[in-house]
Amino acid sequence: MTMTQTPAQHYLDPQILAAIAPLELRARLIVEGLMTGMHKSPYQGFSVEFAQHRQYAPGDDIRRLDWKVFGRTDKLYLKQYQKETNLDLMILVDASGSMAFGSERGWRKFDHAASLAAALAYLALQQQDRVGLVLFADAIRTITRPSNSRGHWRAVVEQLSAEPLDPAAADRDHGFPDRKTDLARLFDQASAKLAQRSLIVVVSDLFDDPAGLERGLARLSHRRHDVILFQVLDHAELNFEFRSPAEFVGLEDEGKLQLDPAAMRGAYLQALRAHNREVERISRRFRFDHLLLDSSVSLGAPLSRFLARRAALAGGTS
Amino acid sequence: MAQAMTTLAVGAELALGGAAAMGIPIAIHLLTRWRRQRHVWGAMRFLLEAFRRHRYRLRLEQLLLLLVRCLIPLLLGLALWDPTLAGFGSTLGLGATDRLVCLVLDDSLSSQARPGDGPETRFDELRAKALWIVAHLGRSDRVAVWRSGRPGGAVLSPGTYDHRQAAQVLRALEPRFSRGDLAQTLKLVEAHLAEQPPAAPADRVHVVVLSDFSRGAWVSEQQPSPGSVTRIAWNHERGRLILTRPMPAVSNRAIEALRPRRHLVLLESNTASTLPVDVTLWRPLGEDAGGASALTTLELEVHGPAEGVLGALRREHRWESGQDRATLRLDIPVTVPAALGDARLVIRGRIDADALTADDSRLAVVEVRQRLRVALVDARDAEPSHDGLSARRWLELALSPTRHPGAENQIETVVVPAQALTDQSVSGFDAALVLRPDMLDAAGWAALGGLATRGGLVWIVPPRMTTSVTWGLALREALGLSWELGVEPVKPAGVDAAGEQSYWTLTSDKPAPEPVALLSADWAVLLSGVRVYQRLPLTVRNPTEEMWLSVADPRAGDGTALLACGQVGQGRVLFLSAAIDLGWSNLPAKPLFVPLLHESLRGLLGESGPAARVAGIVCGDQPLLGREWDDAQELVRRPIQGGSGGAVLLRRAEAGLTPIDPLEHPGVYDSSPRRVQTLAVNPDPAGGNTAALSEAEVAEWFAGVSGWSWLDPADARGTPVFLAALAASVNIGGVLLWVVLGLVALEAALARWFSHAKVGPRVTWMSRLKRLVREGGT
Repeated sequence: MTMTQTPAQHYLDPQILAAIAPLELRARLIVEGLMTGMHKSPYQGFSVEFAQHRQYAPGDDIRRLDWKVFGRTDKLYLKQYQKETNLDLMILVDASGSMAFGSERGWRKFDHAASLAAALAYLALQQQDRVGLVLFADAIRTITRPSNSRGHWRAVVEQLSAEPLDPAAADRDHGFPDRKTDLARLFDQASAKLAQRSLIVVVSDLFDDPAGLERGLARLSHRRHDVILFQVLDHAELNFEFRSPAEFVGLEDEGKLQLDPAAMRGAYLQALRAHNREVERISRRFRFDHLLLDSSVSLGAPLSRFLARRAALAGGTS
Repeated sequence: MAQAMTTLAVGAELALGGAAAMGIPIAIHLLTRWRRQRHVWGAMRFLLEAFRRHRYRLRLEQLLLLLVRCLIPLLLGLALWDPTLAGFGSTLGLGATDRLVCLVLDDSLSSQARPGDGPETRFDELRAKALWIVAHLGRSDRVAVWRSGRPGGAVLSPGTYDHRQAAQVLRALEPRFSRGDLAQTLKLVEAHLAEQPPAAPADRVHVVVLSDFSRGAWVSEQQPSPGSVTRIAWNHERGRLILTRPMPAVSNRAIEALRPRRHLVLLESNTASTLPVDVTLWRPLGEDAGGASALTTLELEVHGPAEGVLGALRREHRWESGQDRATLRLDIPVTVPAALGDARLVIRGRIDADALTADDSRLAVVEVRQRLRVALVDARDAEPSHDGLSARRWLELALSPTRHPGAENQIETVVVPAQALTDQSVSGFDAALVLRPDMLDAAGWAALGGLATRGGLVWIVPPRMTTSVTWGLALREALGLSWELGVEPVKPAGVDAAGEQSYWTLTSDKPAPEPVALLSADWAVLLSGVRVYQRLPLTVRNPTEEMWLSVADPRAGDGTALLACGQVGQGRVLFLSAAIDLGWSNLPAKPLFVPLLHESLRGLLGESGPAARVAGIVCGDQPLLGREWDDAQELVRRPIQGGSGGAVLLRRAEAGLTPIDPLEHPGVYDSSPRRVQTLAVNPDPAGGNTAALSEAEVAEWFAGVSGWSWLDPADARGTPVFLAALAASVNIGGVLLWVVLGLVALEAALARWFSHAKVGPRVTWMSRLKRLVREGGT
């Protein structure tokens, strides 16, 4: 799908978003940009009209089997009904120390994640879905219960804006925030707080042990939650284009490291890509979506492509 | 030595520079570690993981790069410092061509000989061999150039690695006109090698003697002769001698000597006179040649200070079979113009050109005077003699016979009172004849000593009435002579059978003294009639002082001298032990008296005069010039018959003026700025001996030297044999430079490789600028 960039879409550029202080305004701009650039409604990604077939799994209610499909394909699929599509959207935003990194002045990974979360919340609330918000690091820091009431989006946005993720302020006290990501623990806690099946959107750099991620996702999968992993990485983290010898200081209390970045670039990228591949493998294992986002790139194009793909998979549109 | 030290100092500076430059990459390395940019980093876990996995490899890469960067300046410094390089190469056994080749080139007179009909001389052949050797040296070989023409010495020393420079030096060399001085040159080379720090191994030092090995290449006392060989001394630990094989003899004829028989000549202006000269012709080989080739034509010319020839003579000499030397006594007819006055004439002799043309001509300088002035130191009133003629009168008649008005005598006599003799009263006189030594005081004796020292002639005779000598001691002390005078006159004992007074005769067994050599033909006859009736006993103790005349008295023992001659300063003193009086001797009345006076005046004044003092100078000499040159600043070479001029500066030594460098070119040199003195410089006749030494004779001469060898022509590749053994060895200098180049390339490759710059776009200033512009536009 070829899209021409409209003026509204200019506002999806992270550099422009960084210049807009209120998160609420940022999110609206993102949504408007998405709406303008797509032919099909992005609402379908989370549409209540959406009814899909799901492969039968042991323990499922056999009354929901779609016998017509079985007759045609000899495969067992379940019909999903209205009740299931009234999903709760639970957005889990990573507020660990590593999310405070941003190579572009004033635009951190957390800013990108927060904008994305606000935009998604806005979209879901527009179609009457309930939206909840969890800010986490090594554990859940704050939680906003799912709701689709009027004014709930403002509450979500305020929660995102209230997160004290200011490295400069933290540095004055005791260094950068040393909150490490602990996804297994996070998913345990989140799963315990979700009463019904939900669409869980995780916005994080996923800088955690893939084994922990796998364990956590296994639990969520077991509880029939659907999960979308938005992995937000900075452009510098993705390319590591430093040339001069430098000292690198970890944001999660990993200490300091003096090295020649040019000499280390290959090995670093190898490690990072291996990690990303592992994340991708894990998400595929549980049939969850995984989208890698570059925080220096406009949110619009990748997000719209992603939503369109989801809609296509759901059979709503082509 | 000073040059060697300078070279070493420069080399040491280069090495130190290299060592210091080695610190630069280390400093950069440390600085880059110290001044690092700081980045906070989110994806630290991956960085740590990559670092843990590759830290040893990275550290190794850094150390390897640092090592390469340190090696580059270090090796470059070593490569530029040749001595270190050579020593390093030797230590490793790689720099096998680290040799010092001293080329000792014979540029003596005989090397100017042309062996064939072409213009190529023996020197050209020797130089071509030297260039051939230089062309085949390895790059780490040093070459030094010495020449053995007198005075032998270094032309290019210490050895240089710049072979092109050595070749240029060789091409610029011209053969000299002096004799060979190889023995002394080899001593200098040996001393120089001994001073070289550190002493090079003997097998790496080659002293190549490039000589024609003619007899002229050696000074006469070094010529090997069977039975009495003065072998050359050479310390074989200093290096190995390599000799060119002797060249065949070349026929040559030369003017060995051109000697004016008088260096001081009294010539009347506008009157035909003659200049007596002795010319010695020489042909070293003494070959038997008949026909026209046995004939040598000699041409003599006399030149004044101005252009033009004042006299000329042509004479042919026919050589007899086997004759190698002939002396011709010739009188050159000459007429001097009236305006000439006292001057110095140049006599130029020339024979037919042959294989060695440099010694076919010869020059001599003669001092021409119109008149001599002689002081007769006597009492104011001359005492009469018993026969009516006083001693003064005898002398006046002998020296200035013409007394009529308008007549001029060539010798002017002036009476000077003995009682008041001073320096001033004898100044301006060429000679002083002292008739009353008994009347002289200390100032008088000092004045006589001063006159003699300046080159004048002092002739002392005792007074007629001497009964006891009281002035003998003053004479000895004032003039510094060894003569012992008896206190009283002595007479021969008794009377003879005829009743006549006894007398002594003069011995005639010795030839005429050199200054009066013109009388030599009649010397015995002239002496025969002389009788001495009384005399003062005179003994000459110093063998350098001559007895010209002595009485024949077998009983007398010592004290028989009648006329003694001694050197005082630059002049001479004569003492006649008999008074000029017929009561003492019949000498004044004999034919010997007048010519003896005249010839001794001319001869002795000529011998001690300026022209004689600078006669016999040959190329290679650095003569000491007399007082008459004191106001000269330089010697200006007179261009004669198309020859080139030139000037040689003079320096003041303790004993007088001397040229700052040996006189290398033959010719006539005038004093400058005042052209009042003249000297002639001739090719050294000993150097023109083109007779060849045989290989056996040369071998005999070098018999005391172990390990010498002939310079064999070449091996199959055209390389000199003594160089061939090591010629193919590795040149450590070149190797090191290539290693440096390789390290530079390696450093560039490693730096790029280790920086892993191939991944990701290169951040350049231009890309940064474009990014800034883009950001500004946004």
